[in-house]
Amino acid sequence: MNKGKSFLKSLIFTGNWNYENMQGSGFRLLLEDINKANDLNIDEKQIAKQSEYFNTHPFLVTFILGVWFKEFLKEGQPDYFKKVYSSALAALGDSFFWHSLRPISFIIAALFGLINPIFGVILYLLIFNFFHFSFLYIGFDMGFFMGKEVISWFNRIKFNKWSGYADFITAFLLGLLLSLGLKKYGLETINYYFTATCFLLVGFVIAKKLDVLFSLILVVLACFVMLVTKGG
Amino acid sequence: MFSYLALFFISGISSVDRNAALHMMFSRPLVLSTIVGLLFGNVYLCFLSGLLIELFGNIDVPVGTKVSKDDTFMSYTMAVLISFDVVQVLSDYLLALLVVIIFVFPVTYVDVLTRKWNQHLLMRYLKYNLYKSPFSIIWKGIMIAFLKGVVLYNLFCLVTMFIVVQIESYMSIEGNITAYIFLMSSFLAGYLMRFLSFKSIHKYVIFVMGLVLGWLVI
Repeated sequence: MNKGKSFLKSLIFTGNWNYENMQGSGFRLLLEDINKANDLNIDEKQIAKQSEYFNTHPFLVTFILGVWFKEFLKEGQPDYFKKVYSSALAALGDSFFWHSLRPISFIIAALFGLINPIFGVILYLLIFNFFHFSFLYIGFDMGFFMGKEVISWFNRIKFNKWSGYADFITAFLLGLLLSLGLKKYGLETINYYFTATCFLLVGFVIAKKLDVLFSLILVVLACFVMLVTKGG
Repeated sequence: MFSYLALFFISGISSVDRNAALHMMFSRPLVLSTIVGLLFGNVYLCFLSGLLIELFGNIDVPVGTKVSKDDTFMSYTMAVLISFDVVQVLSDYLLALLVVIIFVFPVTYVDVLTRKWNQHLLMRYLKYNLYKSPFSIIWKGIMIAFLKGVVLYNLFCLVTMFIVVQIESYMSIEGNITAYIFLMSSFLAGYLMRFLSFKSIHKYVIFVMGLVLGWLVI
């Protein structure tokens, strides 16, 4: 199997994302490719069946592919594990990649970007994609090696704890970023710092009550009012 | 000419990165804004504007079937307006941000339509080409996302530009843009803290430690 080609295709497999089969078309595409590359001669009907509903975290799809092939070659019944692992890895992936890795990559990039924006952006792409590419690249081998037991690999590396660690660091760096930003780019007046503290506290309080976009509208309007009444 | 073509390409590829393929974070506000700033100037302000929008985008995440608000469009438009000097004073910045937030609703709705179009392609494929490779419908999905970025992002960007230019002739109030960006960032930082999954008082303690360290030491 050409791992490089397979890896590149896993970057585009979400192209037909839709409400009917979600990422089913993409999963079938990846499956077909591996089938052809390895001359496995899997029945056309079996392959066509893979266009059905499938949804997982896109960065962990190769693990499910590995499990699918392993279980297909072993017992000929891979679909049960496909379903189980698609939802399990969707939850794990969302929690780590969207909820934790993205914020921590952003905060690190923002901190370094205050010194040099280009360096910050490069750092963002490097940090995020290191994890993104690593998981996509090793996923098939790991899934194929461990088969239906692949979840034990995630347990062994304590993957479900990564989010907690990352969030812990993010919280610290967010505080650092905020005070650096206010100090470097803000106004050196008591009023300004008082207003920033009030904004932060209001954000804390209403975060779980009001949608962030509507809050952002309100805060922009509040800034407008402040600008008109008090000046810049 | 080259830089304008590059701008079109960036709008297209960032839409693809966000919706259809790659997912390499070119579409993230901080990255996209800085790239636009690098191409057309005012990289620092573009970077800070991206920082503000990304704080928002980090809270509104695409989990399951949820379509998150298109922060890529927001940052692209704001960066273009800053780079092309449409945003000159603080009141322009706030106005542009408000207009962009309003336009994010139709732009995000097009994401929903794109997925329905993909669904239409899938149904045709299942009916007529079930035993052929689905590569063509995947490729079409990526092209649609690219076109969406090129057409829609730039169209709404032009409309925003027009509105801001019209209003700024009546109202133009100077002020420190970066100071206001960090005021709004403080508000969104409160949101982000609540969003982080680490549920414990330690989260807040460590945040305050970061605040104090940033303030006193650095």
